[in-house]
Amino acid sequence: MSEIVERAVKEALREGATEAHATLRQGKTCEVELEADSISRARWSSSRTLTIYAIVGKRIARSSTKDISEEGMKRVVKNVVKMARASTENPHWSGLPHLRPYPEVKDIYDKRVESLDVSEVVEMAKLALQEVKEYDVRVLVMQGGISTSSSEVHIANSNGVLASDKFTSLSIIVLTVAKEASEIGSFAYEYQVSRKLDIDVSEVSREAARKALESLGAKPVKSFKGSVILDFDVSSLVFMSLAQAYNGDNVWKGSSPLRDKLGRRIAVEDLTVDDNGIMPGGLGSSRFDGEGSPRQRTVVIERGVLKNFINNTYTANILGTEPTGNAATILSVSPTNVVVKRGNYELDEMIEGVGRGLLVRRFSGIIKFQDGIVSGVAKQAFLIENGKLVHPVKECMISGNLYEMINNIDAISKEIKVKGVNVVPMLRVKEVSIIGK
Amino acid sequence: MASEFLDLLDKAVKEAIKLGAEYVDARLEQRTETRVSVRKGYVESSGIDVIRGFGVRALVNGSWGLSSTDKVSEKAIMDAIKNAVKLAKTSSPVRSRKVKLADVETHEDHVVAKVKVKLGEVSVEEKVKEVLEADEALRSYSPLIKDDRVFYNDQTFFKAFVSSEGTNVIVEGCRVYVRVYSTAGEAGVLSPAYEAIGGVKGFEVLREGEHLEAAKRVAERSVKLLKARVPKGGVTTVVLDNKLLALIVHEAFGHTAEADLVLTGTVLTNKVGQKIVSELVTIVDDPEPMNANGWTPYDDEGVKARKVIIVEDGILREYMQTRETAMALGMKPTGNARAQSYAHPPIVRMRNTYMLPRDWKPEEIIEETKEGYYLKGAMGGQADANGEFMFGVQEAWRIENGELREPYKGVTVSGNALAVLSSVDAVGNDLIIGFPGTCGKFQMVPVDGGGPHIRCQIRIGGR
Repeated sequence: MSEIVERAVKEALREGATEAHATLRQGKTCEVELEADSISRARWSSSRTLTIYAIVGKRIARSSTKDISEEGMKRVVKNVVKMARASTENPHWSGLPHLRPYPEVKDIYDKRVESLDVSEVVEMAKLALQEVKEYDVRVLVMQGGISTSSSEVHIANSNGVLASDKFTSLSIIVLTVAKEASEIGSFAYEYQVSRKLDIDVSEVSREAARKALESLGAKPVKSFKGSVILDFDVSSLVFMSLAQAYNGDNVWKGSSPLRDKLGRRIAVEDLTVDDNGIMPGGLGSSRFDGEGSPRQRTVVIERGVLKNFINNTYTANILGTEPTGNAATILSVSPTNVVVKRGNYELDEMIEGVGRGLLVRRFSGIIKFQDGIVSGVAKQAFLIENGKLVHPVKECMISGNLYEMINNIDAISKEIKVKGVNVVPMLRVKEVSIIGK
Repeated sequence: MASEFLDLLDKAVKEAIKLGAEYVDARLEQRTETRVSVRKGYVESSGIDVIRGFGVRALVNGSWGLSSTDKVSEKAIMDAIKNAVKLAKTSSPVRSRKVKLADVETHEDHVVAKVKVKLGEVSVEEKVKEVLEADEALRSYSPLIKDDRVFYNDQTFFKAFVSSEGTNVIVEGCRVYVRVYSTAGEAGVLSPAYEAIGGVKGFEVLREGEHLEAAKRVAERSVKLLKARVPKGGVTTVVLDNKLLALIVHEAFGHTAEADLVLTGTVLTNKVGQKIVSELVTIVDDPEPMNANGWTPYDDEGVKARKVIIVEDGILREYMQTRETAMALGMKPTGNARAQSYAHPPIVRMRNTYMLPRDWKPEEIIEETKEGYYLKGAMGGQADANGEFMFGVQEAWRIENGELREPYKGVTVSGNALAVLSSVDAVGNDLIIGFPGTCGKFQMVPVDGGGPHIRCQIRIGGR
């Protein structure tokens, strides 16, 4: 299938583009969905998209099509070159990347996932429903699903880049809610995603049930300032937002407060964060990125000091640095696997050190990288008093600032968990405003 | 293209019945989308995407199998049919309740959205020029504007639906959607603002200059809020503008009235006929008006869509339904089954959801408020099935003795939708339906919403 991307690049040049890049993605997914304690539907789909960038001087356009016949390809090439001509020059454009050697990345494709039959996926869904009911009859599976996919990507550009890669993934998500008498708890969820056939359906389902159940009997609390322990899912949100702040695209555009902080301390000394695009089995791992540059591991924050931004060729050129294999596309940048170094604390020890505070397992709100505003509702949250969990809380908001919070981390957990593309520990942050009744 | 595709869909449906399906429907869709994104006076990205594909849904032994492909050939479609039937058969033994569909009338129809200026008649050069002008209007507002973005998206769509019961519907139209972002900055403080305009409309939206007005409003707001402070948190009296109310009505309240969620348990489960909020509150979900972003003459189950009166004078009247949820609840279908694309299953979705107006003039509501905040616009947030919500507010003004005082930013509102809507004590006469957005409930679909100004009690988050 890599011939079509090569031909598309040639065709674009023939139509008058000075540079061209083509990507073909195709894949298949099979999904069994859950709803109201039952399988609700089984789905299968096959898709493919041919995307072409045409650059005329410094005028750039991107078009895509589902029709990958020779005529379909020619039509989309004509469209994209026409669109590029109608656009204005991008003064920052400095050219597509050249071919560089790609790393080997382990465990991003598993034949066993690709060859799973729908009957096996149905069995997993059945197990998930059983596990939740066996854990506690008060817990209902609201929504959920088990999904398997296999995909391949082929890219080519006019500077000689030509490469292919293939991936698989298997994921489970279970959304639960607990009901007792007239009380409906706050919904809870648990999920796992893997590139291999190694997700633990039972563990995910039981954890989803446990989380839903433990939020029953929630009570409001009075407002106070105290320590907040962020469970893996919430910690993951913090690092997702922070990743936007060290994203080279937001740095050069001036919207990141970290833009002039390279080499400076921005967080506590215990905080070390890598962007690792070649982590074995990583959901964000691949051999090459969206523009055809090799993936790599980049140290972003080392012992609290900001070491690097993440970039593609376009943003790296503007910032006067080297690309880090973080191209989402030739114009946009995205993190790969955000890997945070583990700390020294057990959860018990983190709780013991709190006079008055909250353990937060789900957070529904905003964490804005532009100004660092953190504001939202603590869901699945528990009051901590004198080093002990007291009761679940409701109608309770958290307010603070991301950039102050990373300087107020006073404990990082020993345990780390993979949460999608994030590999994160739990965090304890001091002096956070908790707004209650 | 219509007749050729309808024949193919017809053939597919017949094949599925032959393979043992008790019900089957097939959808074919083509969308042509044009994008232009501009920043700092130049086109950052632009392009044309053509999306086309086929999806089928088969019911076998009370169980759903769905299959889709974007290869639109007879062979690919027949393979998809076989897959759908196999999936339904395989999952049937694990389904606890067999699916039955509520009866609906069958229809043969071809509906075309009326727009003034068809997108196909506008050159890409003109599209680019208008987007550049909006960006220019934004940047020239003030030297304090540090970052600017104008995103233009348009879409021409064609959707065909055929069912084994005999429904045969084509819906065609186009949408225009323009988003404007501005970030003002001064002395290390950054202040973002955002607005979206559009709907089931043609290029008249830009020819009439709506995008330029939106750009100016966004620029003005981002600059104005630079010096704003973050308020103290707590429950307080607030006046909500049309846009923030639209978001609360949709996100915090509307989702709890979606029958699929009602079945799993929301605050509205088993409450039909009961008084749930203030008698000043009437909320509807409407497939019309035609130019609203959520326009849905027929839903993706081929059901002719009708207006749903969810709450009338404070009393819960109806939920929004698919044929499957209507059957499960013993109620009537409403035409709320919508799918993101041919590859997605139709599920209960809102269309254009809004609160009906009453008799207060909006300025009177503020004049009659002794102390509180006037909250305008919304930015992000989340809501739960128990009605609890949290949203970011774009702009807040303190009200003192009926007058607006200083502005605030970084405000969030939270609370329980039913509690907030129960506390409504003034509803304005200024209904606006025109807050287009994309709602994500596992799938993204275009929606719209609205309402008048209202006064209520809400929890404010800040410092």
